[in-house]
Amino acid sequence: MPEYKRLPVDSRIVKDIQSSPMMYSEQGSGFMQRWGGPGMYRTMARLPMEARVSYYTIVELQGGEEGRLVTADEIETASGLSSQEVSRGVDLLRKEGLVT
Amino acid sequence: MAVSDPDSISVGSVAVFRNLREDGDQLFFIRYDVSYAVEPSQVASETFQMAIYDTDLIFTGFSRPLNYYQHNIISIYLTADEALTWGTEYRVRIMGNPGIFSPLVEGVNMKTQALSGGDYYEIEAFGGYLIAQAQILEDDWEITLLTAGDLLNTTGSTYFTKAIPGLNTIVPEIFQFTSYSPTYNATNWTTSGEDSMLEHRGPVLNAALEDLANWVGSSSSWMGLFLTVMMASMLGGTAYASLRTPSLALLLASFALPLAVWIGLISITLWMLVFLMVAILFGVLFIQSRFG
Repeated sequence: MPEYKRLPVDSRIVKDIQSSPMMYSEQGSGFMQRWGGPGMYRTMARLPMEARVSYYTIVELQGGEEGRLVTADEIETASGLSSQEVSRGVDLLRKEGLVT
Repeated sequence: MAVSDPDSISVGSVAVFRNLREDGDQLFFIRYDVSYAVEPSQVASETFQMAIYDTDLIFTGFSRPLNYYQHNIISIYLTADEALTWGTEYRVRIMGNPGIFSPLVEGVNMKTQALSGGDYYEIEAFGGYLIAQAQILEDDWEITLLTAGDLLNTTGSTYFTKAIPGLNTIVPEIFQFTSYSPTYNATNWTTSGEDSMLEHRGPVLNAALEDLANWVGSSSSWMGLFLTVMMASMLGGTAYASLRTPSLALLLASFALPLAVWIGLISITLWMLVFLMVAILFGVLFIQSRFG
């Protein structure tokens, strides 16, 4: 599973690429597959690490099956976060409207 | 303003190049990672910088704010007059702004890299080195910076040029798209001579040309050309009637041109063009009559 604890690139670069049609058209699929797009990356860059890792772990566990229920235990096991971190992270994601 | 320490701070690569734009200039380049799990709202240019210190950790006076957080690149360019001693074990630092981070602690909000002899390169290695750095960033970011042929694409060009201003003039060959400014000699001539010749026309001749031109719905310039052609034709025809030699008739007809220029019927530029054509035609006829 990709490492989501670390942000590899400044979100301001990603924002530039997102707003520039020519630069965006040159991009391969790597960034999109990993982060779900520039806009999502920018959002995640401002959220605490536990929220970001929890979110992408949920996405990975769902495996494209939207609506599949993912438990906190599954998130803990897959992400390596503690139960408290998962709890905080998921609460933040609910506040942001990213998970229900 | 309060900014937390980064989660980690590191230097990935450092290098010094010389003779980029002029003999003796230098560029100190660094690839760093000022890693924040949550990006600060303040931009990196306000909070972190690259700086050069001597072997005694005395600041050399050369620093530059970072453009971005996380994994990225930056450089400091020194002109030949500013250049430091080549090959010296200077210290290159990525460090927090002292006005924001206090104290500055090595490994927490500051990272110092001591240069060695192997970090100094000649200009010939510059392009290849930068492409290698772009490949490292590309792999980590998963953002495409290079074309299939390992040239900086638009995205790569943007961020490498931000880190190294004017890079496209130093190593244009590593860019997918580049532009060149051709050298040229600016002209410094005027048409004052030609204009003064046209003034020889005088008010009477000018009025006559204007009236004739208006009568046929043309301009005085075209009318002047028409009258010149008429004059040349009459001169040439008269000469041919007497001499029965086309080349001599053409030569004599061409004398009408400088006359027309002198009295302001046509511009000297036009005369030069017509004279050139007449000369060529004369030469052809002359050669033909001799050898035909």
